[in-house]
Amino acid sequence: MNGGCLGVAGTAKNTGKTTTLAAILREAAAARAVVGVTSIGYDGEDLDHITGLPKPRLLVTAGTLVATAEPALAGRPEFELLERTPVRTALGRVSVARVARPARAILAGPAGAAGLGTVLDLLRRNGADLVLVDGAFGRLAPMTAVDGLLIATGAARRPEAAFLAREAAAITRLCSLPEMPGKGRKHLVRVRGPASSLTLPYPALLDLGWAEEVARRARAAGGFPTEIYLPGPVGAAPLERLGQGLSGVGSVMLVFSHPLHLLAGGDALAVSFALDGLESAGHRLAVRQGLRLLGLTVNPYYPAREGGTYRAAQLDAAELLASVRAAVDVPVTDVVLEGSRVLWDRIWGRAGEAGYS
Amino acid sequence: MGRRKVLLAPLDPVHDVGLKLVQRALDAAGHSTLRLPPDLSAEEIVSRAIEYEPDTVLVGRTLGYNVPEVLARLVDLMEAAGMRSRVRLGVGGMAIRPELAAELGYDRGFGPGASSEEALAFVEGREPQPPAAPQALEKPDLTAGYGYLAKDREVAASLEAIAAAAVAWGKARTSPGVERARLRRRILEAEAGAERSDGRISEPVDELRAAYVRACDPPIRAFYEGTGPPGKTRPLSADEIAALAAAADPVSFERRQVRHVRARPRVFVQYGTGCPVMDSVHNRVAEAWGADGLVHFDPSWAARTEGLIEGHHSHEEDGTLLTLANLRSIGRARLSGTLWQVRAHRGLNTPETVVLAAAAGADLTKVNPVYGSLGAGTDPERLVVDGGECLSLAAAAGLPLDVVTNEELCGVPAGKAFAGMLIIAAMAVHQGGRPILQPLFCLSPDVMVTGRMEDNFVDYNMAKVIALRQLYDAPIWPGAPIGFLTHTEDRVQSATSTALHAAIAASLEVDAITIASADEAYSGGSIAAASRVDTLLATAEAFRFFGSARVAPTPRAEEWAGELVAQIKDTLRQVLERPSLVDALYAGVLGSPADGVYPGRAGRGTVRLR
Repeated sequence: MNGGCLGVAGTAKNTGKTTTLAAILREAAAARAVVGVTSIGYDGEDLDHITGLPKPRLLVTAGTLVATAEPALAGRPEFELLERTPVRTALGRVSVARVARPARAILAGPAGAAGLGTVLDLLRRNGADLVLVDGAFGRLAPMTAVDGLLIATGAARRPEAAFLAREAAAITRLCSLPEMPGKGRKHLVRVRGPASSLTLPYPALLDLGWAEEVARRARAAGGFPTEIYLPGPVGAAPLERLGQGLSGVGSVMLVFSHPLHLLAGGDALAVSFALDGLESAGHRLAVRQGLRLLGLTVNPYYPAREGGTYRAAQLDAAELLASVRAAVDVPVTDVVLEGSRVLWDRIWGRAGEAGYS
Repeated sequence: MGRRKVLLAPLDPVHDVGLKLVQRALDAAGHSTLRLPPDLSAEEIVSRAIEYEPDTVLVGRTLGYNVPEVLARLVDLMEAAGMRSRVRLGVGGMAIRPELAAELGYDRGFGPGASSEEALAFVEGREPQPPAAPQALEKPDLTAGYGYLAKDREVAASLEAIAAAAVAWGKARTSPGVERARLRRRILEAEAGAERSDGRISEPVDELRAAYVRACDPPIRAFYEGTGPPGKTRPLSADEIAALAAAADPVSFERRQVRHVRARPRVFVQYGTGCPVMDSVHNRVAEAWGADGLVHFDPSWAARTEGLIEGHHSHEEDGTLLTLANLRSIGRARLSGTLWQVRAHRGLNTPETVVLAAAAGADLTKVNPVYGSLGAGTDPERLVVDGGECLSLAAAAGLPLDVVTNEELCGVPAGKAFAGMLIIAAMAVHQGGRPILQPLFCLSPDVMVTGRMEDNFVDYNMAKVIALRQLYDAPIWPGAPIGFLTHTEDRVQSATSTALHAAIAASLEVDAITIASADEAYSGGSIAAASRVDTLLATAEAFRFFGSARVAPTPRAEEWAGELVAQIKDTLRQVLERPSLVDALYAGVLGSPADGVYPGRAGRGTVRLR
């Protein structure tokens, strides 16, 4: 815990991010670690903005560092303001504060990776042993700034254990793509051939037309390409179209910028299926920057929509846990069922395996 | 600031009206805009954003099932595409709140009521221009531009004769109420260390107060002698006084506007919960929702008791006690442009009430000895003397006053009530005052009996204003509240009725109106702040709906106005035939037991010649 940063993201809203974060906060406090905490969205409110159902509270102990929008600190003597940041949110400027006495926190932090990087540096500089980043909705992309990631999934994503298990497998598969750092890769598509390289003006692969264009230009670039670097978000349909365009060109190394950019479209299953197709065609897959996925948490709770309102509903917790656990090779925890200590031990066990401490 | 490139994306199957309005404002400000068609996916919008390279992306979307996830995915895709750090993202829609925008990852959320200026400011990276300085409103003079001349020769002559005689009659007499008012004024001058207004040296406050107490009824004497406050009242605690002081702290809120395109009528609300702290908070709420003025209601029992107590006090039933401390605190807790009226129209303490109102900084008062004696229980002789003093004090303090006609609610026909109102207005003018006529917009007993509102509520209410304007050049402030006796316990009905009566008032371009809260008629206790907002919102909606258009009455309005004029003239003639105004009041000329009113008894036999 030497200033490392752990993100807690979710596959959807209400999948258990706050519960997971609260559990880690409890265990970190027990371990007497100085924790810094922020969010890429907004968390800590009494009632969910969308469903109106109660939300778990975020309790922070004395000494914890909090980076949140200033209105969330205003009139709160439990928080001692340390530093203002240039990072702004929809609720106001983000500031770093130290918790003077146990309090309930409202987190509203930087929405993007750039702002998050600034805030993480400040939390570390103010003495955080461990920095926790709370996710928001199913947003994953800003989590490229963290060192290790926990992903919360659950019935709020879809109240169907078999689907959640399949999707968890797809997520872990994408997150375990081999890392292949490369200095020459920029934020544009780059095609490397045996003799030369070609840069194409596409910072993402979201459009079928772009996919066809990349494949066409790759083929026309002089000989068979050996590597195609695909920056930014990549959707399943353009990947399939790219695969079609590359048929007959031999084995190409397809390098994606980050696993989370493959997940940004919100359909891990479809992207994983498209990657299967590319691998079947003999292409190889890698990411420029890898991701340390420290585990998954599962949450059987979901808000069930009834007419214009919501009620709390639940899948069978044990069945969900067993289904997801059987589908993936990373630790899977139901925090409510198994307790925060189990989660804590699994995170650090996994972090050790991943060579990260 | 240079020209900005803005991509407007309606992430919605159909709706893009909000974005069209924003685009118009952006184009007018010289920015470059591209509005995408509705029903594109998040991926398609990001693709277009990559091509267009905007500085700002504004997304419009009404929330629905799964929509927050789609909005969040757009942000995620922008982040993954490396655009997030150089493109500012805003989202607007009816269900958008700043917290939700933050959670979704947007830089700004534009919820209901957001203006194009706010979106423009966001694009330009500046703070939005505040809406027309609501905190520094200029206080209007409701009486400006009126000449106070009777337009009918007979009416002019009648009013002049009656008013001059009544003023002279009153000045030749005095009452405990008049004496206490004079003592109170001297107490205030002495406490302030100021010279007496008559240039004489101030007396010791203790002696003045002792004289004051001698002129009070036993419950009030007991208060000053230390036995305790009158029943159902108690002093405010130190915490409550601190809270009352805090209510006057400057507050920053976005003030709504009730009026739309017309400058008139100014909209007054009534308060008087019994608790000065709650009054102050309610008044702030009313101001935030656009009230132009506040009317203080005091307890009815206090009007039947000689003398007023001092200090900060709470009353456990409706009506907030008239003390200088209460009034000053409540008066401080209002915006600089908010008009404030303290009523002095009935009871045994009316002259002192005007003294306190002026000392506390009130802008207006309310006087009508005719209603106060026939409809509110005070002896006519006493109230004509006290009322005359009120008019004199109000003129000296520069306080305009409305002349209320609530005796119509007791059953007095409007024509008779208006004759009384015009007499008091003429008495006020005779003493240099600035009266405001206050006809009721109401479903009065007389109207019910005569069936004048069986078809609609428009004609007879309009007829009243038409008639008054035919006779007298004075400001008009229908009240109080408008729609009296049309309200039910149903808040929607009640607010709607108020709003429709307000629309009539706006059509007539009267100077002010007083509106009820939506639960006022049937609250059975304290009025809820939310019900105050109901009627303010409903009234604003009516003003917005009609704008410069007018409510058109049927020809019956003119016909009834003619009848009212005749009734007023006839009543004035009958008053002239009596030896004095007081005699006319006792004789029922301005309202009789047959109509439903009786001369009041409070303070009977207390008047003496000077």
